[in-house]
Parts: sequence; C-alpha cells; structure tokens
Amino acid sequence: MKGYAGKWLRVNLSNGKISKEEIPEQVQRDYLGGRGFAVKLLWDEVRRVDPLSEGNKIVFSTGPLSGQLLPSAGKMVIASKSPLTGGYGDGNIGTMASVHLRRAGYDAVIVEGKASRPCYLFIEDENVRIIEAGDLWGKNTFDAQDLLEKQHGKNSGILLIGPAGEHRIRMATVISQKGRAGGRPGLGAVMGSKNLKALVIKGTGSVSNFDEAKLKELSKKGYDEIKAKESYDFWMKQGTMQAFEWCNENACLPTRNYQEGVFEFSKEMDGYVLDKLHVGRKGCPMCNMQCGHLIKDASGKEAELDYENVAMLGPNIGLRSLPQVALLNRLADEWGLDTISLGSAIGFLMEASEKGLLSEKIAWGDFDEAQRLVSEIGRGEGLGKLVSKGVKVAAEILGKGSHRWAMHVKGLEISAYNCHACPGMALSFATSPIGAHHKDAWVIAWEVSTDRFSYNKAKVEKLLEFQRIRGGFFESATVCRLPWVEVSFGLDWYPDYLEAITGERRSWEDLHKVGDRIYNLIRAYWKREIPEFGRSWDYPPERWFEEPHSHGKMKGVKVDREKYEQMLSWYYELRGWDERGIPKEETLRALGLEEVSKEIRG
Amino acid sequence: MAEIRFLGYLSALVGRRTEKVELTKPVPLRELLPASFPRENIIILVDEHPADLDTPIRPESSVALMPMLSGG
Repeated sequence: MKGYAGKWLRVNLSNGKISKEEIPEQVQRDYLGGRGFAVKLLWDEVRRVDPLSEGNKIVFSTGPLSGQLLPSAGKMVIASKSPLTGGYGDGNIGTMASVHLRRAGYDAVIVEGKASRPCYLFIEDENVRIIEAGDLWGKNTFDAQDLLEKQHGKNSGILLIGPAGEHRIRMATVISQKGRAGGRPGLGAVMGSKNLKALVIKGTGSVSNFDEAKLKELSKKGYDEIKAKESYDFWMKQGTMQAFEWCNENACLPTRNYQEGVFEFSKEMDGYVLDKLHVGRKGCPMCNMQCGHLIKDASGKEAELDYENVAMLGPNIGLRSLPQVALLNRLADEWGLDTISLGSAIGFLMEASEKGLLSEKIAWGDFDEAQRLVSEIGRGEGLGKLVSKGVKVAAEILGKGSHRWAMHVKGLEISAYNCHACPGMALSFATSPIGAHHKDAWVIAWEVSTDRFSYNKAKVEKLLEFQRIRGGFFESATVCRLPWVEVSFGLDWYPDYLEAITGERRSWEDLHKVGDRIYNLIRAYWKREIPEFGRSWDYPPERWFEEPHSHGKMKGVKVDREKYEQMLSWYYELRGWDERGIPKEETLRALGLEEVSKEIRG
Repeated sequence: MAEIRFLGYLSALVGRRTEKVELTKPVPLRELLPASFPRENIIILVDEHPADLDTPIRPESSVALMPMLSGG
C-alpha cells in the first residue's frame, strides 16, 4: 500500500540473523501502524515469557503519518512485554529515528534474542549491522548520544538507554536526542536485558506517497492553521506547563504522593515562572509547537521541563523550585529513568519515611536526598532497590498497608493528575491499556466542565471516545496528538492526510474500528500473559477511595466505590466485555479476532 | 465584588489574570467579557459549579474561565 515501506526489519541478537519481511496489506489496513503493528507482533510472537528474558521482543514501530512533513509527525511507538507490569507495554517518542527509519525503507524494527556482549544496532538503508558497544556501556544517555553522533554524524536518528536500562531497572525508559523519552513501562530495561545500548538509524530514501502534491498542500495548510490558532502564542510560552496552574485551580495537582490536589507553593513554579526562566526550546521533528522548555537548572546547566515532570518531581515530592526540578529531570534523562514513575517512587519513599516505615529520614522537599535517590534508583541500590521494580512491588515488600498509597494501576505509576475529585479520570487511568497513563484518555477537563462529581454513563462514553481517538488513532497512525488536544487543530485533517498518503479514504467509523481491534487485542494479551487478569486490575489505588483531601476546595472529597463499580460495568458493556472485563466472543469475532477468542478461552 | 479569574491563553487574550467587578445586581457573564472572548472550548465555573455565558453573576460570585486543556 502507498505510504508504507511495506516491510519490517527483524534482528535476532542471539544469532545475528537479520531479515526483512513483507507486511501483509491486510495487516496494514487492520492495524494501521505504530501501536497496532506492535500489539499484532507481540500477540503472534511473544507469549508467556519473562519480559527480561531472551524470549521477549521489542518493537520500534511507525505508522503511515510518521516521519512525514506533517504537523508533529516525528513520532514512533516502542512496545514490548513490560517488565514493570507483566502485560502489554508501549510508549511513543518523538525522535529523528522515526524520520530516518521511514527513509531507510522500514515501517518497524523487531529486535529479539540477546547479544552476548553490549552492542548497538546500526541501520543505514539496506545496510544493517550489529556493532559492539563496550565503550558505550555505562555511559549516560547524553554522553552516549554525543559519542554515537561523533561516530555516525549528527544526521542520524538515535534511540538509546542509560545506566538504568543497563541495570534492568523496571522504570527505565528509552531516550533520544537528550531528553525525548518513550517507553514508560520499563522498555529501557528490555533493551538492557538484550545488551542493546542503542539503535542508530540513517535513511537516505523517501516514503512513496499516493499524492505528493496534495500532501504538500495539506501539510502547509495544516502548519499554517496551527500557527493561526488563538491559543498558539500562549502555548509557545508555556506549553504543557499551562496545565500546572489549571490542575492546581481544579485541585488535581498531585501533591506529596497524591495526598492533596493543591500545592501551597504552586505560584513559585507555574508556567508563568517557567516563561521567565526560559532560555530555549526543544522538541520533536516536524513539530511547529515544540513543548520542551529549557531553563538553567540548579547546577547552571540547561535542562528541559514539561508539565508531567514538573508535577511529579515538584509538588508530588514537596519540591518548590523549578531549577531544582529541572536538575532532577536532567538526571533522570541521563540515567534513562521515566520521570513520572521516578517522581512517584520518590514520593512513595518520602511518605514511607514520614509514616515511620523506613529507618532513613527523607523529608518532603529534600532536594539533596531526591538527587541521591535518582542515582540509587538508577542503580537499584540502597533505598532505590526497594522502589526500582515500581511502587506496586515496593508496597508488597514494605507491607504495613502501604499498598493503599502506592500510586499505580496494573503496576504502572499514575501520571500527574490527582483524581480524588475526578472519578471519570480515575476510570481513565484504571482502564488505560498499559496501566495508569494519561495518553489514552484525558477526560478530566470534560468532566470538570460538566459535573465532576457525577458518575453517569455519558462520562464513560466520553472516555471511550477519547480512547478511540487518542489511544486508537494517534498511537497507530503514530503522530502526536498535541496539535488536536492543545490548540484545537481539527480531527478532520487526519483522514485527508491518510488519503493523500495511502490513496484510500477511511472514515472515522472505520478508524475507530481499527482502534477497537487494537484495544481488544491488547486486552486479550494481558489475559493470555496473566491468567488471573480481570476486573480487579481495573481499579485506582485505595487512597482515592479512602483518604479524602484534607484541605482546599475539594476538602473531604474522594471517589465513591459503589458508583465507580457502576461506571466500570458501563465501560465493559460499551466495550463488549463481560463483567470480568474479558472481551466477549462476539466482540472479538466482529473485529476479525476469532482465533484470539479461542486462545484466551483455552 | 465579583471576581473573574482567567487561566491559560484566556488571560493573554484579555490582558490580565484576575478582574474584580463591582456589581449591584446579577448580570449575565457574557456582558462582563469582551465581545471577542472565545465561546467554545472553554470551561466556565461559577462558584465552583459548571456554568455558561448566560449564567447570572452575583456581586459576590467567584468565576473561573479556563481553556479546555487536554492534558498532553
């Protein structure tokens, strides 16, 4: 099909075998790309293996929009069986690797096996090699990026892991371009388990699209429309950090391990403060609304900030200084640690200390201790060892009721929205297909604008609508959702782009069916890999049900458990899943997944 | 006095983050905003309750106007 390379590259690190395989056109249509390709491959090829064993595989996957000269299209999905959750795990990343992979003539790379020694994968069009990386092993992601650029030139797409991934820390992520990150559910650890330090991709070809002239015209119009949006100038000043003030106003800013939703020092570190400290900008390829803001960190080096890392490494650990948060964020990127999980892990330790469950004293907002914990978590040593497998496992080890405030769903730490007073968003986190992440459905603004305290079916329908668009379409077309979600760039652009690229007109109804197929296959994957998987996995932490906010405008508010149960049942009903949360046979059949149904039913 | 708070890009549009308005009787919100103020994709809370541009603003009301963010 036009717009695709039509093949994926398979590299076996155990035996060095490299092969190029055709992607059936039916797979391109049914799964679109990105997350769709990834879950199809993992379902077919990775079953019942230890995620950190040689039997696991990691997929680097693009979609038809990826790498094209289109608004915010420099994206790629990285997916694997997650060592953090034990289920399906993925993350998207903005990187030149997406652009180069498409130009090199591949839609995806599948890495399997395990190298006997540290290595990196070099892809230059048809030339694919596994290269020794002994000199890179142990280097942080910034230094390793510099060394690889020196070796292969700056015009390369580089994906790599830091020491945390090498140590197989389960909150290790994949980094590109000194700050772009993707693969929250421990995908950096999967690379580390394969002795794979990096991928270096150089593509010199081009993607063959159906109507290049039309695509060029639509591209220019799209970029122009984004710049003309009335919210654009403000976006360029604050980016995602405008959510900081928004969340504090609406009492959903995670504060001191999600105990509260309002931070008393919020005005010292909001988007207006960021704007004053701003010294530069970073972002992904093909983007004209880059979201990474550079400031001078507490050590005087330039470091990047956005909302998630500020909220999780700021209020969530009681820290009130943007330069200090920026330093922690830079360290996390250098170590190759996911900043959301890191902030949650440090917050968990601080609360455990406050409650007297640890012999060590770690006060809220202790910047020196926080720095020490980053490296301890990155090495899996000291207190870092306790949380390096995630807060779920940490709570199992620590006991004493700590599971009630271990802030995760399915083992993945919750991103930066406190949901005591946002039951719809709590359900969004709980039904996210990779564990608690905001990327699939962010229903919180809609529920604040309507009735945040209600538990109605309309809220669940809205959640599903967002999952189909965000987690279904954007993750499989593999293009950034931010133009749509942040400056109201119209969704109608995307079928037009797809048509110019592939030559096929696809309706939203059709694209949503693709999204539903992907969601059901991910759900089936969890069920196959974890036989006991089911309804009990779709709940937020006890804290949101049991411990209301102690102050602020939402004082006394918490999630109502019985009403939450009703919303979860509505969600299953709308998805075509049974009361245990397992896709019904007829649901899978309607999506062409009959064989999947047989497998999960034994 | 009624207080109106503008969040996000809405503050840039009106040139301020907070406005105090002296009122002697309830007035529909739209009459307190510039004609060019966005009508769509915004969240309106009056005394913490969802509201719209026709909601009467009382002399002691607290109004928050914010963009319909979509959370990154």
